[in-house]
Amino acid sequence: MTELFKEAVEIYAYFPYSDSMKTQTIEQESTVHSLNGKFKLGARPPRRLSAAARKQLDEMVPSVKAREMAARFDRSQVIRVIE
Amino acid sequence: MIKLATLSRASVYPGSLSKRFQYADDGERQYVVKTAKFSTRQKTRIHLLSDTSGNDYGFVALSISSFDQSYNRPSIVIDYIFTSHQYRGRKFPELDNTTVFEYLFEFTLRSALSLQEIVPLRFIALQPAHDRLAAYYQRIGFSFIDTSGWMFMKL
Repeated sequence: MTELFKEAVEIYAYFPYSDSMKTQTIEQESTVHSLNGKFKLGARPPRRLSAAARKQLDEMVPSVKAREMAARFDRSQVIRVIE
Repeated sequence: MIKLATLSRASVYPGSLSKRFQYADDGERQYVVKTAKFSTRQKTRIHLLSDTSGNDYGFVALSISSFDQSYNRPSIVIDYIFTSHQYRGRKFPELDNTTVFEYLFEFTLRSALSLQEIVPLRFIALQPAHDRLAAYYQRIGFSFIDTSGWMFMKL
């Protein structure tokens, strides 16, 4: 188990809060706070990007760490079915 | 035995899906119901982790989107990763001693890379809910590119 996963053990769910849920969630979980208050389930990535953001995207390189994680995934461990 | 099932649109019933899990609060349950409704509208696809004894551990909901209209950048979007409350933080030998969250995330990465071999998929996109998750995703290779709250990782 990598250090990265040790840190992630307590992270149990990723979910984008809607505006209506944000306040309640912040009150319930002190470690949680919104980054920008615009999280919404079903939201789509931005349709327009600034030149700076576009440049950053173009300069991105594939993540070695992510590929290592993907390689760990053993498909033979589970039966994958479409129900 | 634990299995990962990709739920078809017809097999998702928002009310019954939400009853499969335990929650820390009702807000989580509402998000599961919303995700199921998105699934029935073909807006996202749910991959459910459960076992043959009828226990449901959690799911990841994934969709495809193209962002940056001018340049058309196809991506996989992680709409929601959820672990049922009683299984959070627990490692499962059947899942190579990973947690449900870790397993579903690895599945997502593996699926994205496999799909990229078939279609010109270029990014994984997600919206982290808070700073702890953002820091975690940054260590994996995701980056914020603007103030929209979205993070991206090149495949």
